[in-house]
Amino acid sequence: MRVRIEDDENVEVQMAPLIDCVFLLISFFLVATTLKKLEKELPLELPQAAAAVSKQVEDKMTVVSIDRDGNLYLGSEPVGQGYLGRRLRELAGQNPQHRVRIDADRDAPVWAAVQVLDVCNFENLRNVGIRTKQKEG
Amino acid sequence: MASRRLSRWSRHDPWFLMSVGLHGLILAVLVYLTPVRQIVREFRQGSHPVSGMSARELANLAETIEVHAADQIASNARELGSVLDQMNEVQGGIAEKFGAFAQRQQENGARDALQAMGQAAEQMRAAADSIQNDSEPQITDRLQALAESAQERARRKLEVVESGLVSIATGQRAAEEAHQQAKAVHDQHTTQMSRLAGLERSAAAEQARAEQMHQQLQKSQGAKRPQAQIDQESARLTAQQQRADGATEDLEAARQDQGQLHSQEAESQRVALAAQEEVMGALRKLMEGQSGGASLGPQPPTAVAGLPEPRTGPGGPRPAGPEAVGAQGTPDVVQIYHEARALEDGIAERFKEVRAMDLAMVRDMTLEDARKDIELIRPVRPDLNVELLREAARNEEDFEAHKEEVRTALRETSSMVNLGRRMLEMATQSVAKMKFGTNVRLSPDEEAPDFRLIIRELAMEDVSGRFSDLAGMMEALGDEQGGQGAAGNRTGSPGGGDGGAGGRGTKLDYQDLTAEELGGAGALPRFGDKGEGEGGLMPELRPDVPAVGARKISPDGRPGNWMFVDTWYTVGPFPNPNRVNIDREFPPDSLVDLDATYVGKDGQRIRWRFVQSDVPMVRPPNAEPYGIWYAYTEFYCDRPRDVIIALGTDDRGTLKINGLPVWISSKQLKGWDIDEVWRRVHFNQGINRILYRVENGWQTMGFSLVLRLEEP
Repeated sequence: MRVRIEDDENVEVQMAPLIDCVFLLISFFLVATTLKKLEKELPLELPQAAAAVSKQVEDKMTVVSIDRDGNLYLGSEPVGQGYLGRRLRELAGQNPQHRVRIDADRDAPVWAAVQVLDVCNFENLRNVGIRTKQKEG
Repeated sequence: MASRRLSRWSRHDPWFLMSVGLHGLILAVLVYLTPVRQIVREFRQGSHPVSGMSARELANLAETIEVHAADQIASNARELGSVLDQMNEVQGGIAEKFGAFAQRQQENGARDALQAMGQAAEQMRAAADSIQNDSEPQITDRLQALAESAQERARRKLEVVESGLVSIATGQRAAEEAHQQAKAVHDQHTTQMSRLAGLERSAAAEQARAEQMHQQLQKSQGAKRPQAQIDQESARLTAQQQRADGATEDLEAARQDQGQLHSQEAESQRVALAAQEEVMGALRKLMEGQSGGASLGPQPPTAVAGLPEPRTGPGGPRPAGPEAVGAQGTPDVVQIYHEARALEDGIAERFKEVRAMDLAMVRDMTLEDARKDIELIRPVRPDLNVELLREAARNEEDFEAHKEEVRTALRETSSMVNLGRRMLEMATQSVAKMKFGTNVRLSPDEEAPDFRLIIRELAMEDVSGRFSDLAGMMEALGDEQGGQGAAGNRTGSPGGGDGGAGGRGTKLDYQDLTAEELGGAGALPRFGDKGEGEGGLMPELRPDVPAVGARKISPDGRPGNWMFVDTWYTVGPFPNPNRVNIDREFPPDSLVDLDATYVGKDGQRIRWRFVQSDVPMVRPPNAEPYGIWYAYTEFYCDRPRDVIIALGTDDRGTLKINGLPVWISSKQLKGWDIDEVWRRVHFNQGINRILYRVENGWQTMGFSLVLRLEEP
């Protein structure tokens, strides 16, 4: 005897696609944020520090990078010391609390880092940090 | 079972299919829109995002990048053209006025020279009197330096009209030589006096010792000591007496020498004076003989004729935009870059011309000589790889190199625009400062004094000595420029020219750190017992003084009585073979560009280097014998201040604050001392620009700038 199986004819709102969409949107923003971080970075070998803490890249943060030859970069663009000083002066004029992060290669000359710190200090930019890599193990 | 269910759903449940389709679509769109592809590719291909592209794709991408960059480079070139136009206007406007000024200088050259000779003779006469009256050697030194300075002015005035006054110019040179001889004899005499003082002390000491031994012998004889002891003491006394007699003889001989030298000194000064008066007489006679006729020997206006005509642009027409400079319908980065460099050179030439006019006025020299003393500002710019840019990129390596070249062109043209604007700003400021009257000393009643000339004289160590007060002049000049609307930096805000001595921001907040020391209105500060030299004009300062290293004065700073400027940018060495360039102005004298690279001594490429020192004496990191270095720093003051500063260099040094000379050391090479000279200077509120120029001879070099902050 044939048994007739009842179809699930009840139409109801499916939650799964909605959740999927939300999930995809979250993925989109995560990926976009990661890319922005990549854009600002140079391939530097950062020094390690046990006390390093993980922080997100801030939108309005200025990244000053120093390579192993002591060359200066604003973001990933090479700049001269005069231009860097003028740029930091402009930023300090707009907001003295503007955040500046120094990404210095572990083999960069110390004087170059001192120079950037000194210029920041001279321009009254006090919200300055040095980026390090978290010590492994 | 499962396939049967799927088949059933696909037949009866269209919602399921639609859901699957929508999911797929959304996922595809998101993957397309997000940079996931790029990140995945970066992970897969490392740091070479173009890896895997075909040669055609690479070439297209490279061209797209070039076209985009060419727009910006062409825009920079247009900006340079605009700056050149403005510079032409500035130079053209000033050239006419300067031409008239130079013409007047030529016409009045003989009269001005006579007046300068009169001043020289006056100082020489005073020097002769000073020698005659056995005054302090320093007084004679200063009078002789003033005479020398006046003689130099007279010579320069004569050079303007030399064609009509050859014999006078020759006579003037002879008078200068005679004065130099007088100075040399005076120096010998001063040295002899120091030696004499030493011999006097020595002879007095020997005599005192002999006297002491004589008393000891008498005491021994009175006490009836053993004869052997008395004989021994007697022998020692005899030897000592001989030494004392010898010292006295030496002293007498030195006194005789000193007497002779003194006579020679007075005589040589009289001879020099006579030579100067003779030249004056000859010139006066010549002028009287020609009075009523044409003025004495004015040459055709060579100084003005030497001015190059303002051109539209060097080396051809100015690029009007990417269309104008493009070739075969596509923008040519190389061509635009070359034209931008030509435009930059054109701006630099005009800037040099304005600076030469300024220098000619300040140093009282011909424009031709001033031009020789100024070096063109021409930073080293890299050459682009023409082949690389004009050929299509065929592989990744070519593509990256191509991209880097375009980037370089863009960066360099932006730097050119920045430099061009600053040159224009500086030229405008220089023109605003120029005064087209005659020398301040020659016509004090006719017009307001030219503070720049006065400051220059006050800065000269030979003329003003170890201490001089420039604060009032610096402030007055700042006010004067403020009235003319010069773009000085008054509040420490960003921008402002390097040479701009800005005015005082607010008078109410003004602080004079030396006010307590002033004896009265217009008097110089005195330190009394705490001071040294010339009645306590200068405070005491030891080289190991505990001083705070900084370059800011503000209420929240570390307290201290003394402060030294510890942070500098230095550049050098510039060439100076046989000291031929001691008066030559290298690019930093005209404009400080910390990003610039110059060609220095032996063709080496030199650039500004950061230096920080924990002691007052600062040494450039690449110091070496024989060369000229510059050191630049910015100094911040929370409000306008008058401060006493101590300066020292090894070897010869000059210091400018906000473009104004504060110290010009004598021409001799010398060692460093922390307080070689003292100056009372005025600092503006906000950023103050400080420039040291140090000439190094043999061995080491260095410089220092110490500020006195304590109240007495």
